[in-house]
Amino acid sequence: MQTTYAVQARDLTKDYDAVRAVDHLTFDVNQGEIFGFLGPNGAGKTTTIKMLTGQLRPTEGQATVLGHDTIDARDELQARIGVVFEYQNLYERLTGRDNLRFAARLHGVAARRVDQMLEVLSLTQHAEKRVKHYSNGMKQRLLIGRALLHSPDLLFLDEPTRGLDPNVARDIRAFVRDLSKNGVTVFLTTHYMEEADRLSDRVAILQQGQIRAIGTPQQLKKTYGGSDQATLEDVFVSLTGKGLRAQFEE
Amino acid sequence: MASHTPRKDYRLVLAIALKDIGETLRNKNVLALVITTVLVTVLYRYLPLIRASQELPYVAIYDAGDSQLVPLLENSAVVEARAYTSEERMLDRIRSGDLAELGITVPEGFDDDLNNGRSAALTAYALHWVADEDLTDLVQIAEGEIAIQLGVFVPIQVSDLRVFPSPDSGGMAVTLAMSLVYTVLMIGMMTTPQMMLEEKQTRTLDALLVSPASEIHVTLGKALAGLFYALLGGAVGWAFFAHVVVHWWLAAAATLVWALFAVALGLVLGTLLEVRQQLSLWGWVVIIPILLPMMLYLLEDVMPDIVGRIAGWVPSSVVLDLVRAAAARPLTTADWAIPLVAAGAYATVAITVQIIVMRRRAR
Repeated sequence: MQTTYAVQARDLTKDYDAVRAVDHLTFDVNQGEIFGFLGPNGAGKTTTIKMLTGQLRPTEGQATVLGHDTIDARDELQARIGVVFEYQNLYERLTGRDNLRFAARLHGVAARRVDQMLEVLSLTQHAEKRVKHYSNGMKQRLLIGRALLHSPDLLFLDEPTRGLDPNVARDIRAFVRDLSKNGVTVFLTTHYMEEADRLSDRVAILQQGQIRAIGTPQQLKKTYGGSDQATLEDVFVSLTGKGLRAQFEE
Repeated sequence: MASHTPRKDYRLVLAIALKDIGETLRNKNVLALVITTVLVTVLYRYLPLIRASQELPYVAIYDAGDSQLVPLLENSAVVEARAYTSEERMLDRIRSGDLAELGITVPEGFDDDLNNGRSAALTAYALHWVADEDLTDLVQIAEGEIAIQLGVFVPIQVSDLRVFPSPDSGGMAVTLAMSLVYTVLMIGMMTTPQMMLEEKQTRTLDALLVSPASEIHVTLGKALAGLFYALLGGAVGWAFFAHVVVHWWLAAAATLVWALFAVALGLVLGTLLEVRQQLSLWGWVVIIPILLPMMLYLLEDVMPDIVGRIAGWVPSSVVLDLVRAAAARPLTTADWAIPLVAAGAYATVAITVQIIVMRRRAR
């Protein structure tokens, strides 16, 4: 199904018992763009990703990803998305190659694609090492490789550079940019405002399960930053800090 | 739009199972569990032999007349002899042996024949699995001792008809059954949840669930891998006791249904529990009530009748009977069909419980 939107969320809501983690989110992500999804801890970012990737059923509302309903068309959806989690969930006892080979089998991807991906990730010479002996950066590259093995149209990246040294983080950012140039839509969450500013075509800022602002980094800086010199971090603090202060005062 | 075809389902389940089988080989905890359990089988197999080295050879005697040989042998310092009141009782004792033992029938008029200088001979019986060389050794010891006691050599002719255990015999058939019940249960019920909990704790399960694999594929993949190791453990057990087995088809059927039961219970534990530490506790909470009644069933002669009857119908006892039947001859249909149906029913119940648990968790 052809659509100009990679993601369409309508009144997306998730309750955990009495707690509302995500509160009537409505937003679109254009195909091919890098969409920064920002918010403080507990704002509902990961819950939103879980709903968009079909891992969680929304309490209310609905979402379509690449034209597929996230609940009714889960199988079609999984074939077209890749997810890099905020934690390094690899099979540590297996080698890098075996991790990718397993993902390839799940997706029905030819084995030669594993070798190509190891090459792209510059992991070929470490392919036979067990993942537990990998550095953080190598693991992160492998995670990205696993998510891209089946050539998804949309990649969810949850904190892809957290805890990485600056050089590796820079490589990964360059990699993400290349993906976008090749038409892959990227749904990115990050705590690094500078990273979001540099990478994202558009940004949404989430606070207490609700979107406080959405637009290009330039638009947000202009509207919420208060000055021409404002950074995305200033915008973030002004939007989410107020909320926190208000909460504290309450 | 249904995109899952049987071929795709098969591919997903097989991919997960193969990954788990390979990963388990590198998991020291699970591997230690499998090896320890298999070592218990080895212990079961060779413990009687250790005992044998410290005991006198056993000779069961049935005296059809009133021979002086019986009291002489009962007081022997070379063999441990015991007289039985009928040939069938003597053979029952031989059927329940777990070592190479001899059953001797002393014919009526044996003493008269000896006293009158007529040739006399004794007939001996042994279990079908006793090796020829062991049997020859036993016969030579018995012949030597009889010659010393009677002052004359009396040949012992071994019957061509070897003795087979009956479906309710004790001895090596029970040792085999206990070993198999324990090995398959431990491996199936503990390895399977280990694989599931590993996925949960390392959060690789999240990655699986955003792949084309669903929770059902993951569960079936784990079940297949658990089944592989449970059946492997069973196969090792059977290999050590291969000499005892008479009906291999029944041995295979018993192992399969018991492995299915064990794996299904393992899946339930793996679904309900969250961390491996919980398994150390809850695994035993489940295993002990399964194995304990089997012990009570084996002690039914000294148990109140009702306890023995109830204990005889718990899953482990049913499989115990099935395994014993695999080592028995003659075998009636009732001897294997009833326990096989019961074991199959228990496996079906365990699988159903797992399906219910999974559905409730999915809501």
